[in-house]
Amino acid sequence: MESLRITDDLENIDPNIRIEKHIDNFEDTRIYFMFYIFKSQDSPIFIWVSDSPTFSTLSVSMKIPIEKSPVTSHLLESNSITSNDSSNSLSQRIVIKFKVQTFLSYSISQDIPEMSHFIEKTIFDLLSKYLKK
Amino acid sequence: MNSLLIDSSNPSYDAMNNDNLKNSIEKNHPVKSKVLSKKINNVDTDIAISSFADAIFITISQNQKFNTWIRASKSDGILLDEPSYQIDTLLGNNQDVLFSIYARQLIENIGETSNKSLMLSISITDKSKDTFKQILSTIFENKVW
Repeated sequence: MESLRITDDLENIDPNIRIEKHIDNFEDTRIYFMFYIFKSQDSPIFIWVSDSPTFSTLSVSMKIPIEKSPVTSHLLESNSITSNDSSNSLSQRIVIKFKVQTFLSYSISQDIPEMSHFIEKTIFDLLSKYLKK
Repeated sequence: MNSLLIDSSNPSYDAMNNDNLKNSIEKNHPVKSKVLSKKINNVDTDIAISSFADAIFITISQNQKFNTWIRASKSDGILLDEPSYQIDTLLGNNQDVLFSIYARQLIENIGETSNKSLMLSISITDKSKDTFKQILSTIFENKVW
């Protein structure tokens, strides 16, 4: 019955990935953040930011040689155009600042420019800290 | 009240405060997560699982990349009692059947106890049967759904 054997003595190793979480408030809105960060600095990052605990959008942004600005592709579309637009510009700015391929899940129900700026600043501050570790 | 004063310049207090803050965030954050890192067939394998209100997000990586993204969901069968499963590759290699099999096994297991969909990012270098079994059993022993 070798083929049915389930190994329970797998050697645990130091994780090459870590998950960082953050909670912040913008006025009355609670905003949740989550980051997946690999040990290798060349690895992509995954960022989830939302005011509800759902996974409803996903985009990827990266720098490619023939384009000046990072290119973004939406893999999972939100019904809200606002979220898609904000997600687009945010992920491009993350790629420019941190020079890393970025997967972003961004889903904020309100379209308030100040809130978008607050979220961007929070992500930049947190990433500066996390990517230094 | 000198005895209650905390010397904030002491690094051990900073570490303690950081731990308290981390614990508090983890407790109040609506997304529950687990990270599992193991040597499977001599290959470093990182697995991260996060439970959202509507989805389970699983990352399986043996090279510190996300590579292929797959979304899978369960729906009730129309003619038969058996549920049906939809598996879509959002990004990456959609020719490798193995990735769809991973997704199918995972969504079937998730579907037994919840209606959440699966978001899978998978980047594996060892495509052996034994590794497949060990990765899945590691995930099933550490469910967050």
